[in-house]
Amino acid sequence: MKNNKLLLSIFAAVAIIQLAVPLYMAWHWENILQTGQRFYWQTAPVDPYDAFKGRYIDLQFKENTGQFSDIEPLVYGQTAFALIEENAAGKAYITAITGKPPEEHPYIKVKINYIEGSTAHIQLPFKRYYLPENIAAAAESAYRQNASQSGLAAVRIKDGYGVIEELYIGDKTLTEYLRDYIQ
Amino acid sequence: MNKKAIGWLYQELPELVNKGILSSETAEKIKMHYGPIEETQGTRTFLMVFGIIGVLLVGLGIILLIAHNWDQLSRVSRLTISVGLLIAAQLTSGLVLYFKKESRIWRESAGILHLLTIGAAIALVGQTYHLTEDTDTFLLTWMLLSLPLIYLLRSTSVAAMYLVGITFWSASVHIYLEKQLIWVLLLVVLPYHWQIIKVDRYSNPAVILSWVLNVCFYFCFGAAFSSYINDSGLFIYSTLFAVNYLIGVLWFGSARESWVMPFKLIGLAGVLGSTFMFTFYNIWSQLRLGTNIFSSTEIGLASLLSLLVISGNFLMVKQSNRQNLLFSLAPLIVGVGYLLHSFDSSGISATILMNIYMLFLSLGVIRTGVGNNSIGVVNIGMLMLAALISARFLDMNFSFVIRGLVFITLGLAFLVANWLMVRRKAGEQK
Repeated sequence: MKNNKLLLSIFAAVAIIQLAVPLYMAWHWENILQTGQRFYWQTAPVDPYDAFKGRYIDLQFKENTGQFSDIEPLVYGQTAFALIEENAAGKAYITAITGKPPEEHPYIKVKINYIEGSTAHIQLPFKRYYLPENIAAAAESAYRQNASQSGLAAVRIKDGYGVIEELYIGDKTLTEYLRDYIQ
Repeated sequence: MNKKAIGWLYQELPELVNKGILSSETAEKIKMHYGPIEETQGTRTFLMVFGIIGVLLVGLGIILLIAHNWDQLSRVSRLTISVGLLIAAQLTSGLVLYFKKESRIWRESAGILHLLTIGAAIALVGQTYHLTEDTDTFLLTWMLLSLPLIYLLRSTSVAAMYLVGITFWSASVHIYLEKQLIWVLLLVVLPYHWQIIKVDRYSNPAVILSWVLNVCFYFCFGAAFSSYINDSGLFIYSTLFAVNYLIGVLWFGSARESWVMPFKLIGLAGVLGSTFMFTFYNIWSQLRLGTNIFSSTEIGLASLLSLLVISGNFLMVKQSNRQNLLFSLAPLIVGVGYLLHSFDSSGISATILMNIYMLFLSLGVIRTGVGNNSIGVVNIGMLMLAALISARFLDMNFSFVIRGLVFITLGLAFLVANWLMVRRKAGEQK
């Protein structure tokens, strides 16, 4: 009986940890979505055969390089920090890449793809946009057609993490655009 | 004792008592001795399999429904669904632990549902926030959260799914040091495996888990080391299979049916398969041996595995079990092949050695089959021989004349052996 009690208490502890993980994840990203700073990222054209994996759009961004400002060299695969600002048109751009997180400036954690002179090519951490199954095909072709001209992703950024809030084509959200597009 | 036979006996008892052949006391004693006719083992297994498959299908169905990505659902309702499902699965497991702790069907089914729901809950949160978490992080989180269920619910199916999960994980990580974590992840299942093989190593759960563990091990080994093993690969893999075979022979080799001995079967298939590969001239001619060519990982692995093969063989001989030496000494022959190759880098001598060894292996298998009167084993030996012959017949690396002469010589040797055997048999009959 004592053994059984112990087993059940261990089970309860495990169950709490199991619940804590998805709850923590949800809280973490919800917090960024609510309180993070919003930036608009211009999307770039994608390989038409690779744009769509399963039921999400594989996003590419025009801003994927930055000058690195540290003396210590960055290497492939390393985690680095991209400093972000808004240009006159209200679009996000990368001002610099550093090896350490800045104290005040908005920034995002990135992975270094490769280095070319003093330019670091990076991979932004937000690159998927999950879609409902029934609008997936329409969204795919709409995104393909417009990604390079008028595609925009609104991303909330906080403490180095970014979460996509909405995907825009022109001034409409993807859902609004698709509603008109399908009609 | 056969349940059907007991059933028949119980039917007969009243008549036997009536006819005065047995006294009613004896009939009672017989009933006491054999006990009531229980639900048969077969029915229980059947129920178990159906229970597990049913729960598996329901769990996978739930995951598919979630993957549809319902746009009507708000973020709060999505979270409620994922957490709600998880809590439901946890409650089920909790209740099973409290009320049905002794029922394996309940423990296995609840375990599978619980494991699948953990994955679904994490995936739903990822989908809601468009997370680009890589497959490896997702799998690792999922498997680590499911790991305690193996021990708490004593569930073999959870253990098997955990093994498959971490195997996929090992294939999706790219950094060498991170890949080596797989050994810790594999190690933590071993106490459970030990527990169930201690009870009965040929019971269904033990056998199934052994199969999954053994197959997953090779994928994990490949993922962890394949890019660090180059020219020593032939030797390392042949040693690994030999170790596998020795484990099978030494500790899992006494069953009557061969499918319940996965370590022996996989090891044997590996030894035979790798030996067959080494009979090809191309493998040896492309092998480059020289000083400083092996990495420290290769040297370490090769030494460790060789040590295991040596001690395994030693143990086997001590148990006066010599007929398996032909297979378990494969690494020794491959090692001699490497040695020959370091003198004759054309690869011819090593190729000839391996062909002779393969020929001996096939004949050894046929001989064992004939000795044990097992047509299946004889056929396997014949198949190996046929594979070797057709591979050499079609081999473009040797001239037609040499191949022709070797084939004729071998053919004559077989015919002479046959003739001698027939004569000896005839002599015995006289």
